[in-house]
Amino acid sequence: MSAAAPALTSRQFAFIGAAVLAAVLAHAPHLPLVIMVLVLALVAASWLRHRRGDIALPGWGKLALIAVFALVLVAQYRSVIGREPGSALACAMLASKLLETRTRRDALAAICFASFTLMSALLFDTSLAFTLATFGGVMLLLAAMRELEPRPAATATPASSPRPYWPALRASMISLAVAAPLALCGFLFIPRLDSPLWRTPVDAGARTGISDTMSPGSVQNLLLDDSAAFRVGFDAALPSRVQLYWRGPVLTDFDGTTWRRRESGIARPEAGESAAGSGAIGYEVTLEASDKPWLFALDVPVDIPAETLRGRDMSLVRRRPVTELLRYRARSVLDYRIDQSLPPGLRRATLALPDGFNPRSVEQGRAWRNELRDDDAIVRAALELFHNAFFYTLSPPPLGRDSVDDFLFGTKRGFCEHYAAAFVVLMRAAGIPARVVTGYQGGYFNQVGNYLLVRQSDAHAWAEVWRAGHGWVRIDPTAAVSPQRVELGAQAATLGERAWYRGWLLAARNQVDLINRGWNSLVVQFDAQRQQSLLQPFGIDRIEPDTLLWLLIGASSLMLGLATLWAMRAARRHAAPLDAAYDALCRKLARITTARDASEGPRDYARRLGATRVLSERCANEIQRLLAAYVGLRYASAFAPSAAVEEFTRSVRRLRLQTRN
Amino acid sequence: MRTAFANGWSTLQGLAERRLPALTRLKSAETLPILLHRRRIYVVPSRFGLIYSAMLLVMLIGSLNYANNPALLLTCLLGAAAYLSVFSGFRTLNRVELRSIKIQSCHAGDPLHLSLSFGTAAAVPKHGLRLRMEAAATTKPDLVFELASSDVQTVEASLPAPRRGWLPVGRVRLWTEHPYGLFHVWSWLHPDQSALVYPRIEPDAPPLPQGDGAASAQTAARDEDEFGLLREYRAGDPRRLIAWKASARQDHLLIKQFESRRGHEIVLAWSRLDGLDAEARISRLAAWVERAEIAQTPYCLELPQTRLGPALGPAHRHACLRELALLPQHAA
Repeated sequence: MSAAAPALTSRQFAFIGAAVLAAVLAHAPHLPLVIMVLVLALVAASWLRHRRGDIALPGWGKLALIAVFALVLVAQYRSVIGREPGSALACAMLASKLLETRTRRDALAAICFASFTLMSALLFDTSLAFTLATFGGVMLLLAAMRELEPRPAATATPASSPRPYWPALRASMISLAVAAPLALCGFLFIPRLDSPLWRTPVDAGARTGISDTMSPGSVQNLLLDDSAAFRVGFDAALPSRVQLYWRGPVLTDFDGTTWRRRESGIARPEAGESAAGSGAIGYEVTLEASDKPWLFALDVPVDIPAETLRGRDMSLVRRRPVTELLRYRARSVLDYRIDQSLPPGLRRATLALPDGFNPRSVEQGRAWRNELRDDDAIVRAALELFHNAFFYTLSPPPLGRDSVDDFLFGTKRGFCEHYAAAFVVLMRAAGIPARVVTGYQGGYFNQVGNYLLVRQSDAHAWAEVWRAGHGWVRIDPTAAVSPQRVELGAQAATLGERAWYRGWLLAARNQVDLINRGWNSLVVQFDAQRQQSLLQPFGIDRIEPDTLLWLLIGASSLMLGLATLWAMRAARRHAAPLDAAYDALCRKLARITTARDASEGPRDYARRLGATRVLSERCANEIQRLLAAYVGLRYASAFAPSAAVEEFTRSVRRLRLQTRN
Repeated sequence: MRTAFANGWSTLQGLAERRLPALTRLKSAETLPILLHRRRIYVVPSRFGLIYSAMLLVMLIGSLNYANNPALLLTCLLGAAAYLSVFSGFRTLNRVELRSIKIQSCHAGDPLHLSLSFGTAAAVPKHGLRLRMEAAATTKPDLVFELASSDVQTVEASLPAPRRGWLPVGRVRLWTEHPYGLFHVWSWLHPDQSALVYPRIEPDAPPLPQGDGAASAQTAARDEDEFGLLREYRAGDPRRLIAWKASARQDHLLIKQFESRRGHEIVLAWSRLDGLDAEARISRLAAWVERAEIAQTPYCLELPQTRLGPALGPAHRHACLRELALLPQHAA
């Protein structure tokens, strides 16, 4: 049977190909280049195959194709289970399906699969722009399904005048618009799961973000990334910009090239902290998925969200990596004192320097210790050094093995990670406990939405030194070099280094981010808890899942009922005007005299009415005239002139029936 | 195996028809015009619709499992669009009207050609309408046609006509899977119309019996350029009588008109065909009728009960063939 099935027309194939391509391209941002190239090559090959006629792929060819994909997948991911390899596999299978698509049946299978692939792309990116883009893909899918319906042979053949693609797209757009209310109702009321049915291993490190190590260049990538890291809504006024230090991982261990985090135990609440807590400011952070466990809070957090640990170094760590948008509340004290007494272990760790690295810097630090003796003076000397001779730049010259030496005495150009690392090395050499703190600094405050947007490009690294009686004190050596970096933000500090339009573009994107925030809070964050409190404005605190199901059934039945009414009513309204007028006339007559029999034609009816003599003379004549007019309009020609039909309709409407006497 | 299944199915349908006439719509024939309305339009999901809904379910579970709201929104959107397409399908079939059926008679064994003319009063254009003659369901693919709003469209169908006599048009299945192929929307039309199927023509019939010594063969060599002997084409004229050369100079087709030759008629008599069984006699007489028409020889048909003619022309031909077609099965 399938051998006899007609092959797809090139137009149909074009639609299927476009839908498949859209589904595959939706995965492009996260697929490795090798797989993407392979998949696109397959799509191109299937298009060529269709252009050149039916050259069926032999069985061994399919096997070879599957083998190639399996090899590439295993080489890339070492497994085929999980979100990433699973989506790669889906893309590969979809493209292979397109290659062997020949008949309508194949095309329908491809469409089914493309729907799924398109949906799975949303597991990787939930931003508004991307979601809208996938809706474009949905439109293509519907258009392809519409195109697969057979057409009359007469209109399908003229290849000389190809029908434009627009009407099919427009039709699917309309049907999407019509479907939107029903879809929304499903979205609102389909009960969300409290906990997932299954989990797949999460591939860590897939996304950019602050990590728990710092080696030369690791922050640099972040500084060029304009995507959002998190958004913050403050309970009260926004603190001043120079206080917006978002604390992330604290890096203590240095091996000469890389700074690493050290597990420092859990912070115990300290006496001084609670006293200072009276001035705490509360805020709510919506953290973008980072695939890492760090949460960010203003220096330093006192009240921390649930399921989160606060290290002794005051950084927040979640039990699980943040794999989806996460919203949490925290409170911070800006004027803080931590670790007033330094345990010996920690003191050793924050003074340690690797042997055989950066000898000149170590010497410099020791020299300062001998000359100045006072800790404050040493810190001032270091900051002065930076301030006088160093430049802030995002494209520093490369550094050698002794990176800090090269930086301090050679290039003298760099950005936050260089300054923080060099400063800490100098301090440790001078015998002052010091460590590197990574996180974000600043952010863009959106006036309209009243929230602060922190981008990946706001990533920052600074230093903390321990001073007797003060505890850990934040020192930002970058501020000594480039005060703009702290006061105005990362963009201002590097103005002139980037393309001229980037500043303008970023300003526009800052404004538009309001929409993203709305999308995140309204749609992406709509979880089981929010759903259950959906009816809170109406006084219902919690909706049970089965109530939700009933709501779903009720609301969708209502909409389907409306649609049914539309389908039925519209049909009635479009009855031919002549018939409608005749029906109206017969109804009028039935009220006063006798009803027309179902089998009775207009002339017989007129004859019978003439005999009844119920109506007044004038009325009876008018009715005879009208019925005769109807016979003329109805039967004299195939299509009655519309002016005459309108005239007839008007006369029927004007007719007032009067009985005799 | 397949035929056994089909037989079983039709028996089942027959049973259902007797018990639940409203459900199966294997109803008795109706007079034209037949208007489709909501009480006689049926909808079931197509096979693709079922597969697609399973896929939607998978997508739903996937997006719920990952608590991914945009994916859920996309799934809902696809599902809603798919579900609402049932109304589009219904509206496609709603208010479609079978207005008339034009039937061209044919000889048994040839396909019977029908022109079904559909119209609609609805304002929406109807796309992807498909038609299947139940009597020809196994041999012919479904016909596809479209109806513009307030338009009339003629669909050319054909039926197998294996036997002479009255052939009911039978049930017509009008269906559509517009717009997405997810729902199968259909309705039965059972027009109360029958076609007259002329008897089968004997393939190698002997030459016409010579009536009264007239030479009918000479009429074959007529000069078609004689203008007086041409007339305008009328529906039903045999194609081989069309004067192609003369027609090329005109707007319309011309037919070679031969003078009728009174007094030279031949008699085609049932009684003279001894030694043949009834059906063979009918076949031969039908062949002779056609041959006499081509030769333009007036003829007379003698059957056991009736005698037609002598005459010539489409009306006489029809009368003769009709008489032959409607002879009882075992007339002798």
